[in-house]
Amino acid sequence: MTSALLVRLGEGVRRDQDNLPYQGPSTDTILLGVRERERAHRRRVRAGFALAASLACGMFVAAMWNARAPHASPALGARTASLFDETLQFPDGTTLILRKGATANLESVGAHGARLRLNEGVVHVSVVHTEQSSWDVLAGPYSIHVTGTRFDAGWENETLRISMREGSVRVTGPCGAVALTAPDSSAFRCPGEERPSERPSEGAQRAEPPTALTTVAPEDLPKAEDASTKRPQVPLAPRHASRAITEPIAESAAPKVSASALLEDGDHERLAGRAPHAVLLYRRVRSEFPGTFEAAKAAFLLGRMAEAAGSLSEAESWYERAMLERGFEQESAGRLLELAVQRGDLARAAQRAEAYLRAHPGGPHRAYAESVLRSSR
Amino acid sequence: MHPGGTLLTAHAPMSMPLADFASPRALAGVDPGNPSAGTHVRRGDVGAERTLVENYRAHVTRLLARTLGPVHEVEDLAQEVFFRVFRKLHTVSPPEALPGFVTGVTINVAREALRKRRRARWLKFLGSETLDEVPVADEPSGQVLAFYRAVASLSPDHQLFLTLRYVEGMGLSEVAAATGVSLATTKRRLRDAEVAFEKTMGGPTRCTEGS
Repeated sequence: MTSALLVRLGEGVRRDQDNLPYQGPSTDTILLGVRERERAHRRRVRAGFALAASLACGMFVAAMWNARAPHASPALGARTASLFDETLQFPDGTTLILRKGATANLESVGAHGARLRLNEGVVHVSVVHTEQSSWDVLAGPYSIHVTGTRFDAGWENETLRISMREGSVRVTGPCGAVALTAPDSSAFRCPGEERPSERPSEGAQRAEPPTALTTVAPEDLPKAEDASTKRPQVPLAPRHASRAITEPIAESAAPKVSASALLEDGDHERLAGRAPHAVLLYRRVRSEFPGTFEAAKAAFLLGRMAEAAGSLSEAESWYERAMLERGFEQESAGRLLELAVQRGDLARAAQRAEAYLRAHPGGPHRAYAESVLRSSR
Repeated sequence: MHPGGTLLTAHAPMSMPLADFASPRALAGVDPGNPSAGTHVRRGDVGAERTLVENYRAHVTRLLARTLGPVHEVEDLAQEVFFRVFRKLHTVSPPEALPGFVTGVTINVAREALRKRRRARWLKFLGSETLDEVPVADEPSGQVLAFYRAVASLSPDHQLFLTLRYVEGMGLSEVAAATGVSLATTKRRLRDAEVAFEKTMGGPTRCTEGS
């Protein structure tokens, strides 16, 4: 019924519409409108691309911004990682991660470091090394001083456990002080005895034979303290790092250690900014292990340190010695060439350049040597 | 048997009345004018776009006028239809599918216009008499105005199905093809639209009186 009515109604409407002298849009009008729409569409597409590019740039900048170190240091105060790890990110890139269950107190923050007191649990420390960096992690009576390294420190049941990942730290406690180097792992309990290293380093395994220094019994502790009154570091554990630091200073009846361990200790001291200690250790390597690769490396490093200190003559002397030994001939020859140029002795520089190219035609200083030769002609 | 429309060529001069414009059945079935116009446009032939517009302008305008009523926005919407046709022309294959494609685009544009009109009404908290606010072309008869005012209260889809079926005079299969739905769906929607229209008019009596 409705359909029939609608048919009649529709026919009437159609008839009326068809009778209108309706002027539809002309072809030109339509084409003009189409062109205008195309232009608008292109504008929209360009704007869309620009917006997408802006968003992409913004996201990239935001990602970079998040990736870089934050501007501000974390606020001082108590921290508890109750359910998840809590990360403390510092402007220089240093990160302290409180593992789940750990409680700590960020006691102070300075321009080049901070002091964190670990009340309980484990903290992962990753300190970016700079010339002035100085970070301290305190746990019970212990203090772990850091200049640049990665390690985990745990404080539980009055026991400090340290697992080194990279670099070295110095642990100071009521029983004395000790240096730890990666990959050492140690547990400290004071005034009780220190537990043996859980994951002894290669250097520690090499240490032969164990002496009174290798075990710190309660009755030995006063001795250690006595020693610490004379020297800042007193060994607590059987590891080459502590032995290396103390031996040149205290000149004690230390066990004989390997050249590589001594060299490693020297590197540690040098990187920690304690140049005199490093020099002593490198000299000891040369005196105790002459003719070895380690001795050549020690000579080279002594040269580098002298050069850094501005003693060019001394540096030259060390490089010349290293060049005569096995292992560091190429590097030493290159450094000698640079020193001659630094001194303005072009004739000697040309001689050394020629010698370098003859001995090491594919060496890293080849281009430099060639340029020296060209300029000298 | 469905109500018939006038079967004429797609080439109609602008001064001719609506009745002289091409019927959708002409486009969908027999001779759409020049179905290969799309190929020429795609090839970038000089004047091909103009030819395509001239071939389909009358058809597009007529469909828009039938579905939307006597309103001035038809000109703007016709431009939009051809803009979309040119943008999507590369998807039309074979060339014989062009008339159906143009019809489909036109119906889509009309549907969007009806929805836009409805949204505007909601936003303005207006009643169903929105046609008063739309610029009206020429001087339509009272019957035309009354019809489009009545259908304006229906949903856009109902308006579309009613006008295509009863004003434009399409068959059920043509409505289905134009709107892109199945024949069964077309029948169901037409039935719903008729019921809604009946409610709007207050029953068949008033509808009859109105006509």
